[in-house]
Amino acid sequence: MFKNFNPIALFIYFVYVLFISVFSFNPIILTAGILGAVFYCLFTLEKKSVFKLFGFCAFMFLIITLTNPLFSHNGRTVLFFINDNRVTFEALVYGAVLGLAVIEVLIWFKCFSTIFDSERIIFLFGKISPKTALVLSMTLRFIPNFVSNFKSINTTQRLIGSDSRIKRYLNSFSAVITQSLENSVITSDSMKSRGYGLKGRTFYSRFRFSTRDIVFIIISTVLFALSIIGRTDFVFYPSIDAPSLSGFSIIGCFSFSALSLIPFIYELKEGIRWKYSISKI
Amino acid sequence: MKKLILLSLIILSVFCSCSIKTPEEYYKEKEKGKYTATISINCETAVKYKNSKRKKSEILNNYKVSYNKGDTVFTALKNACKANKIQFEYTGAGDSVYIEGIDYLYEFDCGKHSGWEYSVNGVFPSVGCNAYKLKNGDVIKWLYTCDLGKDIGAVK
Repeated sequence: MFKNFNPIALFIYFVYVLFISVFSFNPIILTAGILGAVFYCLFTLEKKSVFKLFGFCAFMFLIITLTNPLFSHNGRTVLFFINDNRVTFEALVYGAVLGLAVIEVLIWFKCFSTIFDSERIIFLFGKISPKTALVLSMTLRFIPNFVSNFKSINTTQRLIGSDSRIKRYLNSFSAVITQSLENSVITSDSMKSRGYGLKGRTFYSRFRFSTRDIVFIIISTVLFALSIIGRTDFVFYPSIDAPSLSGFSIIGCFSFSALSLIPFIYELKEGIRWKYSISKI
Repeated sequence: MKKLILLSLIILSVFCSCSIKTPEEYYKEKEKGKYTATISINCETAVKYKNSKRKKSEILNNYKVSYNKGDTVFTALKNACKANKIQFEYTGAGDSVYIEGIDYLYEFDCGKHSGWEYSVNGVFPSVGCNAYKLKNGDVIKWLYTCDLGKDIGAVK
C-alpha cells in the first residue's frame, strides 16, 4: 500500500504536492491535483466519510465562487450591477479558481491525516524534537477524540433524561473539557515516567528505508522540478489571459498530474496484483 | 420549518434591498445636478513605471461633472466614471471611503507605495474623498502615485 512507504519519503511527497498546489494559481494544475487526491480517497477511505468530505468541499467551492464577485469588482466583462457595483465574469472565475485551490488543499490534507498516524509522526519528528512530535500527534488526535467523547457523553445524558437541550449540551461540553484535560496530563505523566525524550533513548520503528523509497523520492523530485520549471500563471484581472500552451507549460502540467496521480496509480497496481494472485490460488 | 421560513425571509429581504441593473440600464442613467466641477484622472507615473503595460496616461481630461449641494469628491468621481463608462472600485462607507482602483489600475500595482490620490484646485487635502465637500467650479485631479505622493507633488 502507498502508506507503507517510508514516512520520510511520504512526507517529502506531501511537501512537494502541497507546495505546488498552494503556490500555483492555474486551474489546470489545480484540477489535476484534485483528481489525484480524489481518486486516492475513493480507493482507500470509507465511502461514507469520502462523500461527507466531498459534500463539504462542494459547499465550500460554491460559497467561495459566489462571494468573490460580491467583494471584488475588477474585470472587463460586466454581468450586472448590484447597488452600483459591478459584478464581473472575471471575478466569478477568479473565485472559482480560489475555491479549487482551497478544496484541493483540504482533500490533500485529508489524505495526509489518514496516512500519517501517531506512529509515523513520532518516527518523523521523534529524533529531532520529541516534545514537538508528541504535541503534534496529540493535537492531531485531539479534535476527533473530542468529538467522539462529546457524542458518547451527550447520548448518555439524553438517555438518562436530562431536562433541557441547552443544559444537556453545556453539561456534556464541560465534562468533555475536563476529561480531555485530565487525559492530556495523564498521557504526559505516563510518557515522562517511561523516560520519553531522555538523552540516549532510542526509538523502535518498523519502517525501513528500502530501494523503492529511494526510487519513489527520485521520481517525485524529478516530477516536482519539472512542474516548477513549467510553471505558468494565469492573469485574471482586468481580463482573463491564459498563457499560450508552450512546450514548457505542457510538460509542467503533465508532470504535476503524474505527481499527484502517484498514490492512486500505486494503489491500483497493488490492487490488480492482489486480484491476479487470488485468481492464481 | 420555522427556521426555514426565517432563512428564506432573510434571503428575500437581502435581495429586495439590492438594486440589480444590467450594464445598459446602469450607464443609461444620467446624474443631474445644479453645480459643476472639472475632473481629470491621470496615471502618468504608472506609464513611466518599469515594465508597465499601460500606454495611455490620460483616463479623463477636464470633464465637466455636475453635482448636487453637499456632494463630495467621491460623488463627483462616481458620476464622472458612470458617464464615461470607467471602471472603479472602492471600499468603506461614509467619511472613510477609499478608492482602490480606477480603470483597472489598482493600488500596489506599481510597487508597495502606489495608489490613487486626489487634489482640489492644486492642493492635496489630507481627508478622505467622501469627507471633502465641493464648491462650485472646483478643479479635481485624481493622480496615480508610485511613491506615496512624492512623484506627483503631494508631499514636499
